[in-house]
Amino acid sequence: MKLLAVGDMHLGRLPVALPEALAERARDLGPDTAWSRCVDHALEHEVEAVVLAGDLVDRERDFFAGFNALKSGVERLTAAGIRVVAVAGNHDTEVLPRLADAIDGLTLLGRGGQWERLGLDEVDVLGWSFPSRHVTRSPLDTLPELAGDRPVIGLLHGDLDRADSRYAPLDSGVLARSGAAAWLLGHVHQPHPLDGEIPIGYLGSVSALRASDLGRRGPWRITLCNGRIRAEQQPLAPLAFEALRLDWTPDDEPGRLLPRIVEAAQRRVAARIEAGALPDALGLRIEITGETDHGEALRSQIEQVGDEARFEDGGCQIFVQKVVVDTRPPLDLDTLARRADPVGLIARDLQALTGADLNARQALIDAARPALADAVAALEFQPVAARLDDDAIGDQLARAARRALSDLMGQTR
Amino acid sequence: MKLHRLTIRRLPGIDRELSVEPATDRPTVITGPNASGKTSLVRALHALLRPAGAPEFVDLDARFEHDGAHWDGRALGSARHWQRNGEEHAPPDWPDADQLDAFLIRADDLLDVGATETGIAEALRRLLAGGFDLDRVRTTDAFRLAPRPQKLHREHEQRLRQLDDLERRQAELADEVERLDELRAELEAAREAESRRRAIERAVKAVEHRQTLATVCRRLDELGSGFGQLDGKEGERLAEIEDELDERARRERTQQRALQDARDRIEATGIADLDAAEAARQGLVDDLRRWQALDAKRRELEQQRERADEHRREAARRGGARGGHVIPVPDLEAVDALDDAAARLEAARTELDRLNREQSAVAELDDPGAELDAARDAGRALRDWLSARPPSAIAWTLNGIALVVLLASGLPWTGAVPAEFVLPLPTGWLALRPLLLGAAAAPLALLIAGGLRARRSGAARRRFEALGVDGPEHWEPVSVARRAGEIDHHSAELVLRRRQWERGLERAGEIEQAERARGEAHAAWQRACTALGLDPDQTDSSAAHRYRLRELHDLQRAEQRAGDARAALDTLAEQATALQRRIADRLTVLSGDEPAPDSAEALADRLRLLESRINEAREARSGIEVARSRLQQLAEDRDALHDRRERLYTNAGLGRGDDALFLDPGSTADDAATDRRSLLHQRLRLLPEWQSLEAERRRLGRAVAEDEEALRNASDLRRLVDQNDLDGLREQLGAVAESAERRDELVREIERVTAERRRALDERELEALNADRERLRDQLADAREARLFAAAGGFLVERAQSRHVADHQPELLKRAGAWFGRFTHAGWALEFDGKNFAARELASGEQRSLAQLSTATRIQLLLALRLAWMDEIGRDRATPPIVLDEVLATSDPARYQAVVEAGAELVRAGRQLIYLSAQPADVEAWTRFHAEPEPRVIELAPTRDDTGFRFTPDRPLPCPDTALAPAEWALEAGVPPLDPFAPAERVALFHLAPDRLADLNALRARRIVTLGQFEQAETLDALPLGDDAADRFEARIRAVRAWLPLWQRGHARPVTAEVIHRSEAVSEKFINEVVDLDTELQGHGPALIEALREGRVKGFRTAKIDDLEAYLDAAGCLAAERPVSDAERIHTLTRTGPLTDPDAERLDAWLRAGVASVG
Repeated sequence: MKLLAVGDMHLGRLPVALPEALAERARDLGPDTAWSRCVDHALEHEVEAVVLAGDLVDRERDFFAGFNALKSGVERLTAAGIRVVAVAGNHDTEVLPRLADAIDGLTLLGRGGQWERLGLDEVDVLGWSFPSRHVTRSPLDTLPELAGDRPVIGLLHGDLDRADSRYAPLDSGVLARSGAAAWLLGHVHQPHPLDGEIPIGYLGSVSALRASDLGRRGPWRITLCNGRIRAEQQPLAPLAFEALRLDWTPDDEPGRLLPRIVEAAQRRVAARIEAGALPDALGLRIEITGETDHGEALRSQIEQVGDEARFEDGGCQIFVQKVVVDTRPPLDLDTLARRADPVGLIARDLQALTGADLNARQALIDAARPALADAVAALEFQPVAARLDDDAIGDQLARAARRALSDLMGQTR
Repeated sequence: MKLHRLTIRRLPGIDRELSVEPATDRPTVITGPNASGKTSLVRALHALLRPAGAPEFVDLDARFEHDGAHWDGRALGSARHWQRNGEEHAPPDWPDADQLDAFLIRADDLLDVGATETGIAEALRRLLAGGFDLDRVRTTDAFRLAPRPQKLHREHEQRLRQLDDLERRQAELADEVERLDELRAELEAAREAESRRRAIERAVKAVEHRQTLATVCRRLDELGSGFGQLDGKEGERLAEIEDELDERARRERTQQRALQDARDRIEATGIADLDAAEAARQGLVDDLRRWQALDAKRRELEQQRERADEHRREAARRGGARGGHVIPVPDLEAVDALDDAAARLEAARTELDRLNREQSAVAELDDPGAELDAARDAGRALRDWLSARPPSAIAWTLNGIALVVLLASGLPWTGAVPAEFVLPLPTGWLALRPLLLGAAAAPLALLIAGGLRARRSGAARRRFEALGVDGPEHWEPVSVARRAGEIDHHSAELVLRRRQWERGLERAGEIEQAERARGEAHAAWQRACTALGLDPDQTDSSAAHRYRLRELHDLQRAEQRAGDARAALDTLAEQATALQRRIADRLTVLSGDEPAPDSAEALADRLRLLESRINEAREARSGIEVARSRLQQLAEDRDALHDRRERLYTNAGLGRGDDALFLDPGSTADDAATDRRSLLHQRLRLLPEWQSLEAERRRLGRAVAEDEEALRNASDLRRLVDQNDLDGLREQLGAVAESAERRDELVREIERVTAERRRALDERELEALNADRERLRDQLADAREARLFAAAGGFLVERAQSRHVADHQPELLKRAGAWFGRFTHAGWALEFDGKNFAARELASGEQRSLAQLSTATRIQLLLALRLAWMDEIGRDRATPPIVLDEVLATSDPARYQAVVEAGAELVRAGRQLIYLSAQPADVEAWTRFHAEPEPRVIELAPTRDDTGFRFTPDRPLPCPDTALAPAEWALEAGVPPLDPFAPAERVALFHLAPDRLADLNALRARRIVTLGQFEQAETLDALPLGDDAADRFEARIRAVRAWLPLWQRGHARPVTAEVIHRSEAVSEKFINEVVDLDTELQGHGPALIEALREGRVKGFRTAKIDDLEAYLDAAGCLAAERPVSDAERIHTLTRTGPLTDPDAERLDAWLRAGVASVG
C-alpha cells in the first residue's frame, strides 16, 4: 500500500521572498509547480491514493487560479485510477466542497465538520473538514472510536497543542491515544519528522511560501509495512530556504564575508545534492555570530552581499535572502560584566539573558516586555501580530545587547 | 576659613577707611545704601586672596581663623603678606581665581547659566557618562524607533479589501459559471422560439404583401398604359427646345436690322466704287508729300536769301558804306599776304625785345676763371694734406721709446753697441735677444712711414700757401677738413658764375640774328601794302585795319549768294503751280465741284476727311457680309430645333398622327403644338405615381414569391396566409415572443460569464494581488521586527544609563539637588540630562528647562548648584566666606525663607555666610526667618526704609479629618482626579493610599501631596513617616508607575483643543470647525480622524488629515491596540514589588476609580 500525503499547498499563492532576478519565475517556484510534481510523483510511483491535509488553496474563495490548478491535477490522478482524498482546512472551506462536487474521484472527507471514514485497499482514512474558517472547539471532542482490524490513518487540519487556537485546537495526547496508525496533519507549515512509532505531526507546506519556511519541503510517501505506517518526505519543492550560521572569529577579516558565504552555501548545496533534495531555487538566511570587532564593517557589506552572492549550482539558483549580523566584541563577557560603567551593566544583562539564572532572565524579560509590547502594539502591526513570548523577547534583548556592546566598545577604539 | 575682620584703608572707589567684623557663628547681613562700600568688601577680599588682576593700589588687611589658628593677610600695593599666628607664613591654598567667583555670588550671576555653571555641568557630564556616548548608541539606525508603518499598513489593508472584493466577485462568477449549462439550455429554447417567431412574422408579412399588391395593381389599371416610354424629363427638354427656337428668332431679327443699317451707311458715304476711291486717295497722298517737300524747299531758300541779304547789309556797314556808297572790293589774296607780313614783323620785334632784356641782365659780369682755378688747387692741396697727415707727437714718442728699448735689449748680442748702452738682463734672456731685435722692426717701420707722410703733408701745405688763399685756422686735421669744405663750396659758386658769363657771350650773336629777321619782315610788309595800294608808312600794321579789308571781301561774297537764292525760288514756284493743277484734277474725281485746296495743309485736311469716308464704307460693307452669314446659320439652327421637338413628341408617343386624338376640330398648327404640349405635361404629372406603383408592384411580386418559398415547410402558416388570417397569425406570434426575446440577453450573459471566467483563469488576478499582499505583509513583519529590536536596544541602553546614573550620581549633583529641594520645600527636583540642568515640578510632574523657570526658581537652582560646587572645590583647600550680594531680591517669601534657612544650614555646616543688601527689608527677613542665633547686622551707612517688608508665608494645606470617608476626605482636601496620561509624578498620593488618610495628612503638613513630591522628600530624607509607612508608599508608587502605561494601552489619549493646535495641521480657517467636531466626539482621536475623512469638515484636505493623524498617533491619541485586561494589569502590579494579589487588586480599583473621576 502506498499513499502520497500532501500538506498545505496554498495553490494560488506566489512566493514573494525572491530576489529581483527570480521574481519573474515566482510561479515556477510556487505551489502550482509543487502540486504538479506531486501528481507526477503519484503517477510515477502508482500510489493508491493521494491524501490532502487541507489548505489546498490559499484563498478560500479562489475558484479560478488555485481551483484550476487543483482541478487539472485531480483530473490527471483520477484519470489514472488514483483516488484523491482531502479534508478542508481553514483556507479552503468554500472551494474544496465545490471542487469535490465538480470532480468525480475527489473525495472530501468529513464535510461539514463530521468525521468520515473511507476504506482503501489496506487502510482506512479517517478525516474531518473545517466547516467554517474558524473552529474553536477541538474536532477530537467528537472523534469516533477506531475499532476494527484495519489500520486507520487520520487526516486532519488543525492547531496542535494550542488550546486557545481558533483553528481547530488539537491535543497531541488525544491523537496518540486514539488508536490510529498515523495522524497526518495540516495547518503549520513547518513539517514534523513523522518518524515515531505512530507518525503524528504536520506534513508541512509542500513548498516554501515564505522565507521563514526553513528546511526541506515536499509531500510524504506513506507505506504500510508489517502493519506499521512509515512516512518518507519527498523533496519535490521547487523552492526552499535554509538558515545558515557563520561564526566569525576575531581573526576573520570582514572582507572574507562574501567568500565565506559562498563556501558555506556550496557546502549546503552539496549536502542537498547528496540527499537528492536540491530545489530549483534555494534562499539562504544567514546569521553571522561570534566575537569580532568587525560587526559594523560586516553590517556595511550586507546589501552588497545580497547582490553578489547569487550563483547557480547543479541547476539550482542559490541566493541570499537575508543577512543578520549578531556579533559581539571579542572580550570576555565576565570581564565586561565586572565593569561599573554602562558596558558592564549591559554585559550583565546579556549574561542574565543567556546564563543559567532563569529568574534574572525572567525579571529582565518582564521589565522589557512593556517597552517591546508598546513598540509593536500599534494597529499597523496587527496583520503580523505574533505572541510576544519570553523567548522572543529574550532573543531580541540578547541581540540588542550584543549590538549595544559592539557599539559601545567601538567608542573606545 | 572664617573672616574675623576686614579693614580697607585704600581701595579704588573707597575714600575712607572701612572695617567690618562679620560673625563666624551666624549669618552676617551687611546693609547700606548704594555706594556705601558693600561691593567693595567683595573686591577687597578678591584683591587679597588673588592679587592677579587686582586694582592699581590697595592697602588693606584681614584676619581669618582656621583650625584654631589666626591668619593675618596684608595687601599693600601689589605685595601680599601672610602670617600664621603672628609668624610669616605662605598664603593659604585659596581656590583659583575663577573658582573664587563661586563664593562671591551676585544677583546678576544667577540670572542665567554662566561660566561657573558650565564648569559644573561639564564636571557632571564627565561623571555621569561613564566615559561613553550613550545617546549616540541610542540614536543609531538600529536602535532608533522607526515611525509606525502607517502607509504600509494602509496599503496592506487596501490589498486585503481588494482581495475581498475580488474574491467576492470571483465567488459570484463561480456561481455564474456553474449556471452556464442551465443558461445554455435556456438559450437553445429561446433560439427555437426565435425561429418560430420569425416564421410567423414572415407569414404575417406574406399576408400583408398580397393585400398591398392587389391594391397597387388596381391603381395601375386606372392609370392606363403608355407611361413606360416616359422618363419624366420630357417636359424640361421640350421647354429647352422651345426656348432655343425663340432665341433663334430673336437673333434673326437682329441680323436683319444690322444688314439694313450697313447698307444705309455705305450710301451715306457717297462712295459708289470703294476700290477706285482708295486708288485716288493714294495718288493724292503722294501729291501731298511732293507739295510739302516743295514748300519746305521754298522756305529754306527764302531763309538763305534773307540771311544773304542780312550778311550783305552787315558787310557793307562794316566796310564803311554810307548812304549807298559802295567802296571798291580788295583782292582777297592780297589781304591774306598783308596779314602774314604783319604777323611776321610783329614776331620778329617780340623776339628781339626778349633777347635784349636778357642780355642787359648779365652785361656787368666778369670772367671768374682764374679765381675758380685757384680755389680748385687750394682744395686739392688741403685734401692731399689730410690724406698724408703726419703721426701725432705721442705716436712719435711711443714708437721711439719702443725702438730704443728693443734695440738696447738686442743689439749687444751683435756686439755693435757699447756695453754701457746695454741693459743688464738675466742670462736666460740672451736666448730671446734675436726675437727682441725682430720685434724692434715694427716701431722702426712705423717711424719711417710717419716720416714719409710728414714730408708729403709738408709739400701739400706749401702748395696751398703758395696760392694765397686764406688757410685753415690750425694745421690740424679738423681745421683743415673744415677749410677744405669751405673752399669746395666757394668753387661751386664760381662754376655757376662762369656758366652765366659764357651764356652772355652766346646771346649777343642771337640778337644780331633777330635784328636781321625783323628787317626782312618789315620789307615784306612794305611789299604787301604796296600790292593793296597802301602806303606802308601810313598804314598801320595792326589787326584792325586788316580786318576791315577782310569785311569788304565778305560783302562781295554775300551779294553773290543772295542773287543765287532768288533764282532758285523762282524755279520752285513754277513746280508748285504744276502740282496744284494735278491735285485739283484728282479731287474733282472724288469730291465733285468742291474748290481745289490752296495749300498743302488744306489738301491734308481734305485727305483726312476722305479717308474717314472710305473707312466707313469699308466697315459697312463688312457688316453686310457678316449679317448675311449669320442669317444663313440661324435658319439652319431653326430647322434643326424643329426636328428635335418633333422627335421628342414622337418619343413621348405624341406623333403628328395622334394630334387628332387631342385636338379640337378646326384648331391651327400652333394650337396643335400647344395641345400636344399640354397633353405631354398631363402625362408627366401622373408619371411619378405610375412609376412608384410599378416599382411597388414588382417588389411585392418578389416578396410574395419569397414568402411562399420561406413558408414552404410551414404548411400551417401557409394555410393561414392563403386564408389571409392575420388574427390567427398574430395570436401565434404573441405566444412565442417572450421566449424569443430572452435569446440575446442569454447570449450576452453566457459570453460575459465565459469571458470573465477565461480572464480569471488567464490573468490570475487574485494570485497577483495575493502576492502583493504577502509582500506588504513581509514588509510589515520586517518593520515589526526592526521596532522590536530597536525597542529592545533602547530599553537596554536606557536601563543601563539610568542604573549607572543612579549608582554613580555624583555627590555634587546630590548635594545640589538637596539644596534645591530645601530651597523649594521639595516642590522641585533638580535634573541633569548630561548636558543641561532642568527642574521638575513635583506637583505637576513637568520638567522645565532653565529658560522656562521663573526668575526666582532659576536663582534658587543656580544657587543650589553654586553651594554644591563650593563644597566640591573647597574639599581640600582653604575657602573664603560665602558672600551673597542681594541674590534673593526677586524671590517670593516662601523661597526667601527657604534660602535663609539654607544659609543657616550652611553656617551650621561650618560655613561663614555674609549677605549684602541695600534693602532694609532684607535685614528684617533674615532676622525673622533665621533661627537662633539672630544674624549679625552691620550697617555701613544709614539706609532709607522705603520699601517695607510685606512677606506673607504660604498658608498651610488643609488636612481633613481622618474620620471622614475617603471620598469626602478627598473632596475636602481638593484632590484632583487621576490623569492617566500625565507624568506619574503628578499623581496625587491619595489615589494610591485612600486607606492611609493619617499618613496623607502628615505629608500634607509638609506640603507633600503628589507622588513626585514624595519621591523628592524621600531623597532629601525629609519624609514625616515611619519606615514601614514610607516603604508601603514606595511599593505602591512603583506599582503606580507600572500601572499607568498598562492602562494607557488601548486607551487613546483624549484629543483636546490644545493638542489640535499643537499639531499645526489645522489652519486657522478650519480650527474652530475641527475643535467643535472634536468636542462633539468627546476627544476620541480615531473617531475624529474618521469623521474628517468622511468630509465632516468641508474643504479640509486629505494631506492635512494625514498630518493630523500622524501627530495624534505620535501623541498617543490614536491608540487602537487591545486594552490590557484587569487580570493582566493586576498580574503586572504583583510583579513590580511586594504587593500581594489582594493589594494589587485594591490598588487597581483605587486607580481606576481615580481615573473615572476624571469625568
